[in-house]
Amino acid sequence: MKIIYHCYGGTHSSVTAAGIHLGLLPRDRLPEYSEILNQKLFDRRKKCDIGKIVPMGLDGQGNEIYIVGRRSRPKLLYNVAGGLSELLGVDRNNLMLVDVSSFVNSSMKAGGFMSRRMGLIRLGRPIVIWGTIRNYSRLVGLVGQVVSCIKSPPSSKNTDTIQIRSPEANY
Amino acid sequence: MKALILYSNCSFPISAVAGAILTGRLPGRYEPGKIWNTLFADGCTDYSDGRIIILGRAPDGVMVAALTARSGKTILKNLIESFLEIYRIEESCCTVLEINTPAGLGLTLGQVLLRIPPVRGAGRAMVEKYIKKIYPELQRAVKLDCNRPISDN
Repeated sequence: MKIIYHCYGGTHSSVTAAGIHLGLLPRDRLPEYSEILNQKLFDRRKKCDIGKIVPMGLDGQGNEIYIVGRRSRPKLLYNVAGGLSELLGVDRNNLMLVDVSSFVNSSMKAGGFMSRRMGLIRLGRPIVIWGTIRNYSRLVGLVGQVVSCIKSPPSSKNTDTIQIRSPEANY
Repeated sequence: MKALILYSNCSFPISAVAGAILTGRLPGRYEPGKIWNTLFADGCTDYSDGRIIILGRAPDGVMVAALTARSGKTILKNLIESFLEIYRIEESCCTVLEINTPAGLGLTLGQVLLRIPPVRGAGRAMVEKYIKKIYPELQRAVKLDCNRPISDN
């Protein structure tokens, strides 16, 4: 299965969620500042990378983990992924889109804006990392929900209305 | 399987009209009312935010789809390209072509009126007038040589 974590910029919350999923970040404790910072792509993606689905690795069950930034347009991502799956004959049940944007707190937003949009990396990066650590347990909870969702088969009664498997499931 | 996605950033799904001409669902010559009876029989003309409508096969067997999104050309381009990459589908199997049409005040006004039930008829007439005007252009556009791939900006 392909699991795509998506958020506004695809560089903070989705990268951290992917790191937790892949076991690169701990689930039983809060990570250190350096553990968050040393993640591949954390606070490093640019404006031109928006919409690029980036592979992050394979989890223990062989699921492919990806991240993507989609600005404030999750519907665009769902529509394009659903439409392309149908057009190209790709199995929709093999794809899961996970919205991480609701797990972003104001510190992450402010720090991310300063670092990525204004280029104030020295100022913005510590704030976004602090915000990520504060929100970490919620991200761990989301990943746990995703992992249990993968293990359960797709609901047959929802297959007509839900285009792609997603823990939110009510978009 | 080869697929062709016609893309437009117009607020009205002009790309769907162009695609319907290509697949033969709409005639080569403009016929009043035909667009509504063929494409928008369900009354839904709002295909914004990247919804992809599959229109069928072109005479050469290529699957034709239409995509409309008012903005975000870069995000769309990146999404489509990377989606093909993650499924290891060759880029040549899916072509995205942009349908460029001139902006029309009549179209914008017509769309606003379409949302107001008492004046829906007037709105439809305005939209039809605009489409009638650009219909020959759409016909030329779907011959592909008049199009260009989706750009970065």
